[in-house]
Amino acid sequence: MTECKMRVKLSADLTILTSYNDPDIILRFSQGDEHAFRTIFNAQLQPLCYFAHKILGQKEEAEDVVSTAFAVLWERRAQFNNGGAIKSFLYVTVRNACYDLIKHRQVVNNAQETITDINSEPDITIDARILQTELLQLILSELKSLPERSRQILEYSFLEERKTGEIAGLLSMSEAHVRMEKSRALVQLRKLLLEKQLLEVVVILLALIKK
Amino acid sequence: MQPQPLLLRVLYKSWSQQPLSPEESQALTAWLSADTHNQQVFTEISSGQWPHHDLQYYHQVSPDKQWARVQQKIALQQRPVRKMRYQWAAAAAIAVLLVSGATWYLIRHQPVFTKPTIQLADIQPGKQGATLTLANGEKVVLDSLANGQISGTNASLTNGQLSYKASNTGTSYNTMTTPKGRQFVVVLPDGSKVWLNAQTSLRYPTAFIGPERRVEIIGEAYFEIAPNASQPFFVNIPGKAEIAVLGTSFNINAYTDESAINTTLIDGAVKIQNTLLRPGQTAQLNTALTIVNADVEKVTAWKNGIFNFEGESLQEVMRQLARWYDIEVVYAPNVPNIIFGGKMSKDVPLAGLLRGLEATGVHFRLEAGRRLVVYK
Repeated sequence: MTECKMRVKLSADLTILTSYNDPDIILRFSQGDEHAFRTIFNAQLQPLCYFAHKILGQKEEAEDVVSTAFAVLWERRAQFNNGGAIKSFLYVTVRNACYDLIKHRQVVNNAQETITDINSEPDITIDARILQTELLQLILSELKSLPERSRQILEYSFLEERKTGEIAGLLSMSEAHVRMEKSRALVQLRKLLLEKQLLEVVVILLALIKK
Repeated sequence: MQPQPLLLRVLYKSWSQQPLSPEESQALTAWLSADTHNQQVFTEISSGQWPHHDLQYYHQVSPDKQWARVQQKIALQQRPVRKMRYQWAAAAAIAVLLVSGATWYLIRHQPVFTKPTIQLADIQPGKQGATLTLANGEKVVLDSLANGQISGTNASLTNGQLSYKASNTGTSYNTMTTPKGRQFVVVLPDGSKVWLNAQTSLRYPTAFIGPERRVEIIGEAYFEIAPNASQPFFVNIPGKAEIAVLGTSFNINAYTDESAINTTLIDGAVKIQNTLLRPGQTAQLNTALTIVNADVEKVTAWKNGIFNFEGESLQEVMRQLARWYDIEVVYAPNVPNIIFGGKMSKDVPLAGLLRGLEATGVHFRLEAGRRLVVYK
């Protein structure tokens, strides 16, 4: 894609949580190991697609932008020596490509005086969307570490949007019991997050310069 | 701007409806007032309804499918093309072909009960793939073949790219053909790399023996020729042109339904009918030869997965779409003359792309037999 005025530079002092089981993964990736690339890909794919989808409101375009970012990442693999740099690169590449697409939509629309309402309004809340994406990952990763029963109740209610009555049926519990377990599970989830102080360590990008 | 860990914690607490400390409230207020759009995201996160619905898409993303897509893109990716020692190149070309007569086409005679067998929404973009025809006439479809050596050849397939090894065995000819809706990359035995656009055919020897290297092309291809002063490279456009090269990068567009053969030089030098072409120039050959300055990015956009419609007529745009989406295009009377601008990804399904084009005042409908009708 072409250069765009909104290009953003990353500041050097990013701290990012990137946890791969194998500490050598970045090294092997930068030396051209495809398995390492796949591991990184698996870890970052869904968040990036989510992020792009939030901005573009369109699945196909989102996945196109993300796959292009990974292809470019692979081409430049030799430049990366830490996971944080990879993550920032992917976010920024996807973000810029989304800008380009939105700009293009606007060009097409403006050129024609008649604004078509087919494309949903572009979302320019991009920095906040990065935060939202990171928050979602945080919630999902912590959800996994809850005890089985609590996790199941929260997954049914968050991920599958099931009603309390339904969950009660599925788990053979009373509705009151489900409600109680649910609020207990939520408390646990919060506690986990705060105890680990993940929120302090975690994140991210965004010393991204504002437009 | 607020330190991000603090903000993330604030958002997390808002999501889980916990009280904020004074410091956190202050951070939140500052963040919300910094940008009106932040408000929108905050409202979403703290609504009690997030992330329920969003997670359906999150979990629906298929790593295998997207991985295949990334691999395709890597295979098609352009290598940095600045090589040092290009000395010269020469060329020729020729031309002419007629614009297809499809500019107006009466559609009112079609049978009343014809129903489309497929919907517009079903028409997917082209992808990587080709058919390799061996010297003995055997055909190998490369679209879904696993990596590895192609039996009976000195060529092997790696992630959607076919590479020949140099060999001294006798010369036989292979032909790589891309149908509509496919493009492909082949590395010839001398290391020269050729990107084939859709509906293109490249014929080449499996070993370059003798004083010259010769290939034949119909359609459109981008060449990065490995320099070798002692063995000049020739591209034949059968019956129409011969382009002599020695180490250079260039694009040839020689589709039979385009009005001219366009040779665009990216790097090196090319001589056509005794006219020297410089990098960044296009030689347009139909009845006469015209040299124009080229928009190199536009000319080579196709191999980077992009349609670049800058300055193109409706018919030019539709011919590209016909090749990539494997459709036939017909025009209702009175379709306006439109000049397009802008770029679009080649990865989107046809419906999405047409939606963008419809903003210019033309409309489309799909009929049986992948026939797309353009009307006012």
